[in-house]
Amino acid sequence: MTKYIIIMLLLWSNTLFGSDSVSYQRTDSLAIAGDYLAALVAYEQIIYQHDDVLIQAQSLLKKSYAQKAAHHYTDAIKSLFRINILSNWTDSFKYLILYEKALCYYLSHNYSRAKNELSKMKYAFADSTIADKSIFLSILVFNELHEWEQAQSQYAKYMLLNNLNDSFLSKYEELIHKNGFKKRKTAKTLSFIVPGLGQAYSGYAGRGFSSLLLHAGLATYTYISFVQGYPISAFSTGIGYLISVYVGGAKYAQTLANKHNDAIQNEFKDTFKAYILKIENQKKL
Amino acid sequence: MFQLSDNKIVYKSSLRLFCYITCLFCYLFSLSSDLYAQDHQSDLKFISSAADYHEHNCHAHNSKSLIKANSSFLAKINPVGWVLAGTMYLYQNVISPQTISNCPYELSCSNFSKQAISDYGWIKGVLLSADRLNRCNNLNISELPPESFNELGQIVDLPSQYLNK
Amino acid sequence: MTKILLSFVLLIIYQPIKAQSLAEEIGFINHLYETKLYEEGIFFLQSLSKNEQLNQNQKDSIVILIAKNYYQLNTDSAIRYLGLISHSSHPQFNSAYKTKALIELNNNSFQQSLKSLEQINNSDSYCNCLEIFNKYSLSVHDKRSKRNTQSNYRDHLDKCNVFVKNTADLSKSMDELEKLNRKSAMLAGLMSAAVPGLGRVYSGKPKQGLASFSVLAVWGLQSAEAYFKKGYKDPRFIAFGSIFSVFYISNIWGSALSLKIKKQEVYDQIHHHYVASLEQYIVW
Repeated sequence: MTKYIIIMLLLWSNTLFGSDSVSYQRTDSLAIAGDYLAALVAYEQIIYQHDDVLIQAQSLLKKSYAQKAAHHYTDAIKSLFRINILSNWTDSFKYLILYEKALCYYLSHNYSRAKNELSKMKYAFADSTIADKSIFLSILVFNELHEWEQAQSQYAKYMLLNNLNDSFLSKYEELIHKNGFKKRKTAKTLSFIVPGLGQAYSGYAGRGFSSLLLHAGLATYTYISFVQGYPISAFSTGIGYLISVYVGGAKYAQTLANKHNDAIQNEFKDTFKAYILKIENQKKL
Repeated sequence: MFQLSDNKIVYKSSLRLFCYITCLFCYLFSLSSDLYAQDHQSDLKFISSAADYHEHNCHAHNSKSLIKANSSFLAKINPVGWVLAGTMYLYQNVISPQTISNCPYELSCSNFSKQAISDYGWIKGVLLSADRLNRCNNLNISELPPESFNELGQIVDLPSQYLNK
Repeated sequence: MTKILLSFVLLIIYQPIKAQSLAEEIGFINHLYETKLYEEGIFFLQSLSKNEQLNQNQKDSIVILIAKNYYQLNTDSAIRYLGLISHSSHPQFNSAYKTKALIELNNNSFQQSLKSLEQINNSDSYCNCLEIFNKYSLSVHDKRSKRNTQSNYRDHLDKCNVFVKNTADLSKSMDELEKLNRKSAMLAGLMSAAVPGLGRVYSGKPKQGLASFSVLAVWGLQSAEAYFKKGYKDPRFIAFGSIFSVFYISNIWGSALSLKIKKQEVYDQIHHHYVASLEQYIVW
């Protein structure tokens, strides 16, 4: 009987004191249960009650995890920025903070700031291999920013580290050289020569045809108005709208060229994202 | 004597059971503070489910279909409704992108007219829309106070500012 | 043996999260507010308010703190909470209702603001000035108010030492508002009926008037051209004439409405000045 009591006392002291001198039991269980505000308040109480900078940093980091889980990425970033990283902290802890900032910026679509946080990792650690765990995130960020050369070099590094066969290097080359892209200036010029041709060049033949019909309709109206002796009508409604549609159509051809190029890039991004997430998922297994 | 020893046996075995349960409880509890250590798997789930980013623009309320799914049966079979909805759809999706105009408003003129007609009826709605078209030019924009602009630099101009609901 | 077990059971069951008193938690509540964690502050205060051992004064203090946090997020909720303070908490009630009146004024709810001020005992110069500004705002928005009312309230506002001194721009805005109040929306409409766009110039929007005139001129000329060419049965005349009529009628109505819009724009500048002066007196 005595041995059971001793075992229970030992286990209970572990739960009471934890690995540091703060117990996150209650706070973590609230966060896991989805009691979002209660968990945030509980973390904030720990921050308030302890002067130790490391405990405050740990609590803020855990708080940011809870905010991220609730998809409040901007709030998570605010919590992370309350942490003043000290030079005497371990590299692994510093990495957690920088990685989390980059991830939350990525999830809130603030890709340039995510890139900034990831770039800090080059200089933040004594052991540079610590940052290798976040290469997949940096590739995704460069993809979103359309910085294909940087993304390609990071991908090459990622392939080496994970012993992967090349699946995407050639695709990156195509994107860097803009193979299959439509030129905005060409689309605009073509639309000025023949209304609707720029839209068709951009891959939107239907839009090109509708533009041509619109021009034809307005030109016909203008001509008939002039012939039938309605010059005011011909100038104001006919020529006025014709100019608007002519110049607007050329601008629209540029927009469609951009849209076509974005579609190619987005398709690549989605395919690549699915691929890299699959690799990362398999790592744990 | 026999009864006393029975009670003692029952007492000892129930105490043992209680201690087993408490050990298990304490063991599980001691694990929970590590359970919420950040999980790479959950991060990957967040990344895969991250929504596409859409820029806010004045065409956000453009008609995406001819007839709204939640409109009444009469609205769905009304031919006049089809013609008007079709005209609006054609204008917003085919004609408007091809014109030179650059919308300065938070709510575009066509969407303003849709909202005005639905809030105030046909007569007031059409008149308010025509008034809005009168105001949709650079001369008017230069006369607006700074408070009329939102954080994206678009003019906030809603039908409710002109008429009470 | 039994004693050891019993004491151990107590250790397991008793969680050291005993209910803290309000005084002990004030430090943490202030920390949440200063760190701008308003939602968390509201949640924490709401959980504290569920403690049945609190007296009325303590409950009212919690309600005021919740309103203080809500003021940064959603002023309607701040007003709602401030309205829950009981009359018996005398000093807290007065300051809470003064703040409530100011927030209601800021939200352009002038009548509610005046009602909140009526409930305050021992009104001071702050309350008097707030009341005058509310009445001034009501007179600006009331079509039926007499001509002298607005200038009378303006004189009283000038004497209020609670407000920051009138700047030249503010005096100019108030003069403009008085002039606009003397104008008639019906006259603006009639002027636009006679000469399209003239009503808008009268309302204080000359560029809009010029733009309206140009638009109507274009449609009008086209309709006239069609009419003189083939008469009223010409489809062109019917089409352009209808468009011209719609724009013409909408311009008349729009000119009358533009006076209302212009008054609101000028009033908003005055409103921002006075409310900013009063906000520095908010005590939570």
